[in-house]
Amino acid sequence: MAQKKFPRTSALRWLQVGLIAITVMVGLAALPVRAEPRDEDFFTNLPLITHTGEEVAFFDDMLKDRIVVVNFFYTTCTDLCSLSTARLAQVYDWLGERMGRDVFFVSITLDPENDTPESLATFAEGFNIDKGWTFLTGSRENIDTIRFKLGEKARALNLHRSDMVIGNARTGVWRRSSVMGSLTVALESILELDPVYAATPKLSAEELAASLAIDTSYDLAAHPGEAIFLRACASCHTIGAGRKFGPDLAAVTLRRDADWLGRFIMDPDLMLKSGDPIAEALNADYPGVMMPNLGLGPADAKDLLVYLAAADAQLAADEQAQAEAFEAFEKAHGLADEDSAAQD
Amino acid sequence: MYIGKGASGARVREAQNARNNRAEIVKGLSQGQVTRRELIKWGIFTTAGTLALINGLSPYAHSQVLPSIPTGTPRSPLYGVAPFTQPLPRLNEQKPHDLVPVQVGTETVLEWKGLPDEPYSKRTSWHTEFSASGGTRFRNPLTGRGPMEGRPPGEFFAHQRWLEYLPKKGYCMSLGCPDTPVRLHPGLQPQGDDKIWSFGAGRMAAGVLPPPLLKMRYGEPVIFRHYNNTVLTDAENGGFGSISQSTHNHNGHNASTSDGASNAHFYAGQFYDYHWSTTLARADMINTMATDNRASGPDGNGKLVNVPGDYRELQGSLWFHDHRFFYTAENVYKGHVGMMNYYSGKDRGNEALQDGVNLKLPSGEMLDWGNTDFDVNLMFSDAATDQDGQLFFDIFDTDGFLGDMVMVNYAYKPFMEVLPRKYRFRLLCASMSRWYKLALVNQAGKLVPIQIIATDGNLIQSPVTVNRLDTLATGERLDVVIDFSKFRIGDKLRLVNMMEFEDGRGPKGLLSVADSLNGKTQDPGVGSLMEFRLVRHVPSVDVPGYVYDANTHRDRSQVPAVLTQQIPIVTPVRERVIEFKRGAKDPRDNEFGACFPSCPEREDFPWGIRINGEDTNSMNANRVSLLVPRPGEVEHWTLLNGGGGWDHPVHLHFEEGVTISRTKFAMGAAERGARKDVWWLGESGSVKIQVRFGEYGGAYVTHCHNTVHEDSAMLLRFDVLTDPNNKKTSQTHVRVIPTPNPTPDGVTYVMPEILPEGNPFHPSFNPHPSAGT
Repeated sequence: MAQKKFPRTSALRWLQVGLIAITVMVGLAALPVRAEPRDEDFFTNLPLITHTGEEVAFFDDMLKDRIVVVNFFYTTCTDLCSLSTARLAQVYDWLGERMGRDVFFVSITLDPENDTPESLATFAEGFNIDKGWTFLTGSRENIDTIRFKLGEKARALNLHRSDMVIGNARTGVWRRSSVMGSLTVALESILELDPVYAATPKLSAEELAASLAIDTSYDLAAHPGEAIFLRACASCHTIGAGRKFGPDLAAVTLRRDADWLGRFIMDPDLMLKSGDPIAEALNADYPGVMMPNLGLGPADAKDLLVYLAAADAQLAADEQAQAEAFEAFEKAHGLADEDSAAQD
Repeated sequence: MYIGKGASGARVREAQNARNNRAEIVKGLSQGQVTRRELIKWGIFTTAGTLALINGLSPYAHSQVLPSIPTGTPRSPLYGVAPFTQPLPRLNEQKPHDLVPVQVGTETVLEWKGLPDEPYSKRTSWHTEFSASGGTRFRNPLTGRGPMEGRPPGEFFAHQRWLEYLPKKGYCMSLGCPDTPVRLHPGLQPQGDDKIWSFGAGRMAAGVLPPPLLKMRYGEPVIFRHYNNTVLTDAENGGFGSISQSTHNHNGHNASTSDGASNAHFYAGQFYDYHWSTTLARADMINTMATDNRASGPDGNGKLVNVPGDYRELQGSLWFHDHRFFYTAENVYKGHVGMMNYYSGKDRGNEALQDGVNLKLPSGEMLDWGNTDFDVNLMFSDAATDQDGQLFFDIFDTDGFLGDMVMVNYAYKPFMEVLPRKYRFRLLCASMSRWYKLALVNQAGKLVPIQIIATDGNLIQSPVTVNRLDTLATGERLDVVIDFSKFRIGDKLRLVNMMEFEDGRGPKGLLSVADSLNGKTQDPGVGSLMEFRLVRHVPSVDVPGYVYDANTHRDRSQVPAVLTQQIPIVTPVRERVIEFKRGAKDPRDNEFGACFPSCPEREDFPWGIRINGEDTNSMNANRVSLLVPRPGEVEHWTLLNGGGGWDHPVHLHFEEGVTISRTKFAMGAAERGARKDVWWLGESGSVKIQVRFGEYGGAYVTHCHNTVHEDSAMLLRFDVLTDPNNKKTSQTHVRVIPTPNPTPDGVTYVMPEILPEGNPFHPSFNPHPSAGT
């Protein structure tokens, strides 16, 4: 490959004809230039293809002058990538109007042979992503060069990193952060790349006072399933608050067989692969979003089911209470019959 | 690091092409076919005149053929500097201030004698008053934003056992940029602004190199007041280093507030009072009445001050360094580091005093305790510079960082003049990813025996004499005695490193002494690191102005056959298996795409730590992975390396473990039964240890001390709970503490989650997991 680019014949001649173009194309000067932000010489302007099928120059079109979050994923990933994409989507929501204005997310596939622009588009749709978040594929060679630049040196797909690179290409500040920890902290680490945000005081007197009053005394044996739900499930599912990236889990313990639920919680990838009809139907209903294998064991699954059942019971009790309250209200005001008829 | 013997043909051809191309350009230059100015304009030459690293031009440029292998790193320019041409700088010994107790309401606070402007030290952070005032009082004087003390507010981060271990001395230090440029050698380039952030004495003071040495003693707790004097924005950091930092006392027996690894970092202009209590472990269980004079500290007048606790838990050679999550590697490298010696009755740093307790280890006898004339701290670390000679670090290099210049006490390959007598050296590996396997050779290249007396700062039961020291991985310490009395004035000896690295993932292997000396390796970190020169006259460090004369000096030191007693291994209350992994279990998963699209087995999480064979988690400061429910219970931990071509030195905070056994690799000569706080695991190897917690509570961590791996999430939090029935201990820390979330405007708290597999209160908890998960 290199031989093609750098003919052995005459380096000098080569220098004189195509030097500037090659400097830009290859641009692998490894020396840090002091006080100068890293630019295309470091990140390269190698061409990549977006999920909308557009060809972009990596640095100029994706990073230049922007606050960026760059992570690596692949659409058929059955472990961390879907979870981290879902968690990153939460941060995306919080960033709101800043997305596509001064903050941009860039997700680069590690599997360019299989991830076409179309499959990237489906993936993006699955996570309700529109402005400011670009999914990229390209040639294996270009992807490898760029991922090595960004410290993603995994030698196997499933050894990829769970963290992400964040940076402000204008100021030249580059950092690592992760969505596998606190999302609030991840959000702050991104916002802090904006010098204006960093210079603006934030904590109110109320927040300071609330922190003084925090009390961590709780029953250590209680609600283990809740902790697992918050950590592993809540980025994609709600219980009774509507469809997010996966189904609303309200009444799931009534709708599905407990044994099936347990197996699906532990090994969704294997269930899908083995042709389980429910798994296949679910997968078809949520294109682009694959239930990841979260590494949960039988004890975790059991804890989760107990928690989901309790949440369902709570939902049912809440509905019952609301219905009773409504009925009591109607009765008290003598509205019971006419009102329900009028509504229809 | 360099193009190795096993490189592919294509890679070798590419490198050769690069050399050819370069030669041709140089030739063209000399023949006037192309001007230097044109080359600079085209970006081929740097303004310094060196050839830029463009693939096809420099053999050191990253390969286009196989990006997976870092084929070459440019050597740091040495400007013609030869090794062993500068004297070893001693670490900067710090003089503490007296702290004067004053009663304010119901609290005892401490005024800083001689420093009237310093806010007094107190049990709870000044942040508490800042928060209570709605953020209007006790603000950061530099910025006007946030509290003046960065320690989180309220009882969770109050100093525990404050009155019982009331600090008597205080160190007031700042982490900042040196005001006169420092050099790693007089012949090397001065470091530019904000390339180094190191400790200097005083409030908002400039940094100083070499790093500091604190001499502490049992029975004399201290406050380490650390001012952050770095910069206000990340963009001003000189290329690497975070603007918020925190200091870990490695491995003092302190409350989590003062351990420095509970996500409580702080910002420029703020200070943080660390309470380094000198508590002797098991103070609540063994020798509680302080009647055993082996558990003691020197009083300064030839006598002892007894302290409660188990004398077998005495500590000696400790260090302190940054522990900011995600940024530890770059911050430590940048200079956030120092050493501290804890002196005790048994190991008081006086080689002459006879009281039936003092071991009289080599040190000196001018001072009652803490002599350092013959007791020398040696901090090994490695650095790389860019082509302008400026310290260089790359956050995108995620395998681990290897420098090509080895430094001792931040000086490039120094020499040290010694008398023909016994010396004690306290060796520390403070590198990010480089480990050392050291030996001492004479001029003929023959090995000279060394005695090991302590591992990770803890005396071993009996000294062990070796020709090659045990591996010194990142964070590990070895206290050794070298007897120079067998040599003559004029003789020279060298410390040789035989451990070879190719990348930061772990050591490649060991070279023979001869091959190490002859440089038969691509790794510039292998070979002689330091030279000892036998001389007749050596000036005293402890009493400046005094000069020792080998002809009249008498070495009264000794190395007794028994140094301490072994803590026995007992049946544990519970066991835990902690797996540090970045690797696929299944060999089919090894190559990219080999089992794509879906591997038949469950795929593994790439980075992280797995408890009892359960879920692998990457670091989350807000996640409690292990809960130690009651003080004093004996646990056995198996620390396991998941393999995959990686190696990890694993560090346990707060307590030392007794080393029980290893798998896959042989125990080190001084390792069996040794108390340690860092263990290298070896690829796919494991180490079993016995631990016991007590006296303090709060959030601590255990992690891989390859700080680059640590920054990449190979770290877990464990919480130690205090005993509600022991009124000496904190009654706040009988429960899990909330996680601080520091910002320049102040600290808020978030509630932690607890993993069931680490929580003994959970019904699914398995107290006896199997190791072969």
